[in-house]
Amino acid sequence: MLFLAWALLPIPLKKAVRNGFHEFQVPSWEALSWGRDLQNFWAGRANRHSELISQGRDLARLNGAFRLQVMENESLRQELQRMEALLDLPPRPRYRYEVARVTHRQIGTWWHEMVVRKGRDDGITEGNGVVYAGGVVGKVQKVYEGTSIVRLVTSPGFRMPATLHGQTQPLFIQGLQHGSIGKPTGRVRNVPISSNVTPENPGYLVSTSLGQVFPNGLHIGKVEHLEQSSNGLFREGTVQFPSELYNLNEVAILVPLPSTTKTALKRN
Amino acid sequence: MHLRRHIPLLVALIANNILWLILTELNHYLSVWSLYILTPALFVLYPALNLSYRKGLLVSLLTGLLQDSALPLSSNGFFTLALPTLHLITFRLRDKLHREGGLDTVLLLQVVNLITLMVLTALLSPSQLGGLSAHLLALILQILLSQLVILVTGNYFLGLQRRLGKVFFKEVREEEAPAT
Repeated sequence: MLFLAWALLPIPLKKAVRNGFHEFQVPSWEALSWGRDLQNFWAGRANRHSELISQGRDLARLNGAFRLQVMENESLRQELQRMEALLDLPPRPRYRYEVARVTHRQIGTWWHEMVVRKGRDDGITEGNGVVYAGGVVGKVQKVYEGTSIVRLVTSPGFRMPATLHGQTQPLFIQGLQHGSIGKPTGRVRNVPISSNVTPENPGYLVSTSLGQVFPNGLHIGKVEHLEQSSNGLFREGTVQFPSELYNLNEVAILVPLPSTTKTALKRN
Repeated sequence: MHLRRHIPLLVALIANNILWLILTELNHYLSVWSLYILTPALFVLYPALNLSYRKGLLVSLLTGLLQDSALPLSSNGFFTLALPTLHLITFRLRDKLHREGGLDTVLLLQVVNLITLMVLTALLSPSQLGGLSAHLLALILQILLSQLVILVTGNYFLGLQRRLGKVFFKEVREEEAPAT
């Protein structure tokens, strides 16, 4: 009787119930997440002053280097805008980086996802790209009021376009659940026959803006071995993603900005 | 007085909610090794053995909805239907089981939990690249861990809920509704 009643219930109603139960759980997840942050804070306070001073000095050096890179990037960006206007190219997608703490991760053989503490209120929409300091994390699968669910790049069924570093031919990456424990892996397909990689000289996979989700050049993973695909036209192989992918506490969500290239140039 | 009659039901709901939260936190830490623990049978034990059929069914249904909303499953859900089914199986066998838990209860828990996880795996595997064989080792380890959690905590969790029910509701009596 219950099965029949549930089966006959319209899908929008089921979704509404599901959303309601999700929102009901969010405060408890956030409380746990804040608890973990507080634990880290107190662990940090236990550090000795000399350790903190040396860490501060290292960070100041990094900051100096990054400031120079930001200035260089800005001048390159303006140069690119001028070239795009000259060649009348369509504007490239630009993004706002919305930094979000990870509430909790759910990674196993059944699913690969994480819940983050930013949602609809912060302008996040379904399908937005998610990155971290080491490269691509995945895509936003579902958005709620103050939280979002991120589907990891290792998730079975996840697909994204990519290229090998230094090449332009697009290929695609698919998530793969591997038998080995704690090793994020995936599958790369449509690799040109001419590409050759070895464990000594691995191929580095980077994102491409073809999918309109990620900008060009973000690190995804590396591939050390390629084999002939079943159709004989391409090659394919196993991708090794960075191991910290399963241990992230903070990510950045790429929120696309409305194109400003042409209007900025018109003003110039 | 009317409200006091529902205290065992509230105890079951709150205990399931807290257990689910603890599992979420545990799975967060286990994610470093890409492992995930699921113990659906543990959530229906107290409602099926100690509450009336209707109340037990309500607890199982609400717990199932709670779990489905937190997991990437289809809109139809899995636990929304799986937990009431487990509840029905356990409720039908409750005359043959010890209500305070015991070896028979632990054995039943192990069997129904294993079957539920295998059904879930069978439902999700076709969508995975390489099929079941690609991640068999990790899957076996994951299921073994889940079974181990049930073995260690099953009786304790049941006992805890029974005690809480008695603390807050002194005149607690075993609700023995006939199995439908």
